[in-house]
Amino acid sequence: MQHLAKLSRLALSDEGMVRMQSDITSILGYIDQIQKADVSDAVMTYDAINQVREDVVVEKDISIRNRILEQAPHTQDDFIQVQKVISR
Amino acid sequence: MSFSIYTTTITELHKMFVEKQISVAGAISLYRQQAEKINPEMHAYLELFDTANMVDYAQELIDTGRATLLTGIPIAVKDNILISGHVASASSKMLENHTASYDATIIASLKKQGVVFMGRTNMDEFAMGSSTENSAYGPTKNPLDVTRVPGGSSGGSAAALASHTVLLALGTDTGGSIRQPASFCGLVGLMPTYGTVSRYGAIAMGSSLDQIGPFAKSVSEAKLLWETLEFPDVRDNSSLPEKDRIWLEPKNSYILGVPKTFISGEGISESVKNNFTEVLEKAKQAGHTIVEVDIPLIEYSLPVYYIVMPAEVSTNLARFDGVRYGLRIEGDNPDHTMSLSRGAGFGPETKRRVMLGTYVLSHGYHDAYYQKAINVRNTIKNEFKKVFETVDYIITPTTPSGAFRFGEKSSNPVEMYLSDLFTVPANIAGIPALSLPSGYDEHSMPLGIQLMGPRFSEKALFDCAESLEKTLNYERISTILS
Repeated sequence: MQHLAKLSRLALSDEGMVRMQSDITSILGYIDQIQKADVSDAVMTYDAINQVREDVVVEKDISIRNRILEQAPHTQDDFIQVQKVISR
Repeated sequence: MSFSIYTTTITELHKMFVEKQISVAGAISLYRQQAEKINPEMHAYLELFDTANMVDYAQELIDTGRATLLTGIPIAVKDNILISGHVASASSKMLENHTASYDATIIASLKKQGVVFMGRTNMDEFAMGSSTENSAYGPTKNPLDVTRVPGGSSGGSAAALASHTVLLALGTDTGGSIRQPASFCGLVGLMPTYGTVSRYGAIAMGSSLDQIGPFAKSVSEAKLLWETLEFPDVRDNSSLPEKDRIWLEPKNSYILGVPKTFISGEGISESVKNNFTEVLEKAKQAGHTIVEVDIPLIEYSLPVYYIVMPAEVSTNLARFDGVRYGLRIEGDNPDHTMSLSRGAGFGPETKRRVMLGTYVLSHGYHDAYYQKAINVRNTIKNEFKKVFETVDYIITPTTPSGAFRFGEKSSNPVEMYLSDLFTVPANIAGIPALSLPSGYDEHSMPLGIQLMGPRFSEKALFDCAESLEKTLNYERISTILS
């Protein structure tokens, strides 16, 4: 559970962790029934196809960029500031 | 004809606007009064908007003969659909101070028509839940009985409409989040064909499942809103081009398939069963044909959903990292900041689904869960296709019971999940499904029936639903605060 919480980037309290374990166990108990489903003749079908557009700027309204920057917790000039990732 | 927030329809109000019997400002102020009256108790809205500019614009469209049927019509918007300049929180602490920096495509389109946005409505956090009890800002109550839930996750939108504060509402539906609250509040709700309504500007939950759709008081009004929501959008990569949108035409009568085994399982209330039997009888009287159908794997829809959806949730919600926007709790390093921010910003159900999604996608479990679920999902899709070769629509109750009480299911996640039993299959298959009111349960709470159709069958679906609506003659009982 601790490994999962780490992968999920979720800080959980001890109490939260206990509750989570029991909830996840019960949900897994429920979804496990799909193992019984016979899909030996499964055929992949795709109704939705990714519509990829040309890689060009469609957003002409520059004010949107400023409004997005205003939402960031830390900015410097026109950049969003992040914490130092690589330590010496 | 005099104006009433309770009974005046969209078409009637439009006529009154055009004939100058009432101004947009006059009508909107009465809806607003009602919203202010009911909201302290009902908590349908997280915020009521200042509508002055929208009202002026709508009036101008009317005065210059450029009005559509929706001009000046008040609408409630779920809090996960972006309206530029307004907070869009998805009822999460994570996005408490998040202001939308642009309009969702459908919002921009409605704005052009002079639709008046009354406010943003409460929901289960990030649209995860079936009762609005998962909102970080407290639950919404059912306007027909405040001790009961309005359904979810679009419960605020349903309650806003059912308490007559608007004429239309927008919701999103990933596993029943429009149809289930529509059923619980005595409304019509539609989940459109996957890929037909733009999701650009909707806060994503399960991207292979999410659709935006309308709530209305009648089938014809749901159709009216749907017609303006359905169009291709280059900003949404899942949006289908115009050439693919070939709609099935209405018929004189319809063949309705009943998946008998599926709807006879445990946990379905007696009143739902009885109501459903009555509905089938009336449908026959109205000239429709009822046949039994078999969709062998449909019973696996819900477990499939609880694998595919959390997997997509864990992916979509990875964007909330405390770096770009949303809540940030400062930690010692990027990972620490991320974990603290997400730990504090997400509620219990959101955390459960992120953890579950991470699990089913993780090395060693991917094949057993995720890949297996994808295979079952495809088989279910194909089974639906096959059934639609012989029937026009599949008919089921919308929910296994009427609206339940607060706290009744909130302590047991699986119990809560089961309330989406009948609505989830349509999302799994990407097909349209509509819920319409069909009567009342033993607690005088509304019940609904669901019609599921093949892809692109909305036009005929509305036609079929309208004929059932007429036959069922559902009597809208007044809400307790009206």
